[in-house]
Amino acid sequence: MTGLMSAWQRDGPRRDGLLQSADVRDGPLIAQSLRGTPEAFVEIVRRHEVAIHGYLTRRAGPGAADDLLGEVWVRAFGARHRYDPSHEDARPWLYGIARNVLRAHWRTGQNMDLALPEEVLDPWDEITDRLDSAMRARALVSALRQLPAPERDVLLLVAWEQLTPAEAAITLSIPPGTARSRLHRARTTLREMLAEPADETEVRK
Amino acid sequence: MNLHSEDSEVPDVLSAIGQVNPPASHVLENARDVLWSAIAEEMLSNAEDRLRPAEFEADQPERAARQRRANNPQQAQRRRNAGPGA
Repeated sequence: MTGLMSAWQRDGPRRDGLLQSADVRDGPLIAQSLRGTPEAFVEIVRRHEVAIHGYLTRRAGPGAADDLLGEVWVRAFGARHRYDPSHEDARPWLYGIARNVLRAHWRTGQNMDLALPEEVLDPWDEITDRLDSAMRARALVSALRQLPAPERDVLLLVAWEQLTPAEAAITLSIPPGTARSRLHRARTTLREMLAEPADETEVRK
Repeated sequence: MNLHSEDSEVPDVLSAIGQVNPPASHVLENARDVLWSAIAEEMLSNAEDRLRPAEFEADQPERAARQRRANNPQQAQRRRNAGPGA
């Protein structure tokens, strides 16, 4: 397979009639991939692979991200007929698929406590180790852990993935107004948590 | 870390703890390899589908004749009158 595809991989899917320009938005490229040139989808991957890998890394750790990235592409490729072509940027849709892959990954974990998603534990520990000297970072990580998962999801999509609330709504398959209200609640809750006197037991844990 | 302001979209600390190293190029390539397998599978499937209509069209004249006979009530009646051995 690798030998067969190496020229395409090296040069990209450049064939007559194939949309290639960076000016071409994601929607038309995905539409083209559905019209007999499935390799057009590789351009979508090239555009967003670093961002999606970053998302997977932040939510599941670097090792898991490396393993899961290919699965995200296969799932997205298989689901591209459901892509809404009115969305010019495929990123929110791809984040949604990556999130589903993450959820399936977390379900296979030994810790099945869904009320406290295990997905955040390892990355958070790594983050606190990396920023050990920053007490504010520790307090923030602690507060993030305590946020309800739906609110945390919106907050992190906006803060880390640079999505707008409306784009986060696409990722999470929720109405834009719901995304905005969850974001507002998340910010309010974080602000209140961080304003409280630091709980040394929690923060230093 | 100003969470009061809606304008300061990404508070410094929150942004800092979200920083990760960029992926190694081989990681991205491996993931694309997985995608190419799926693409190749679909391309093969599409090629098979393109062959199928040709076979169907080759069968069209006989299929059309059968349809005409079935739709012609006089012919159908004559066949029934002639009996099964006709």
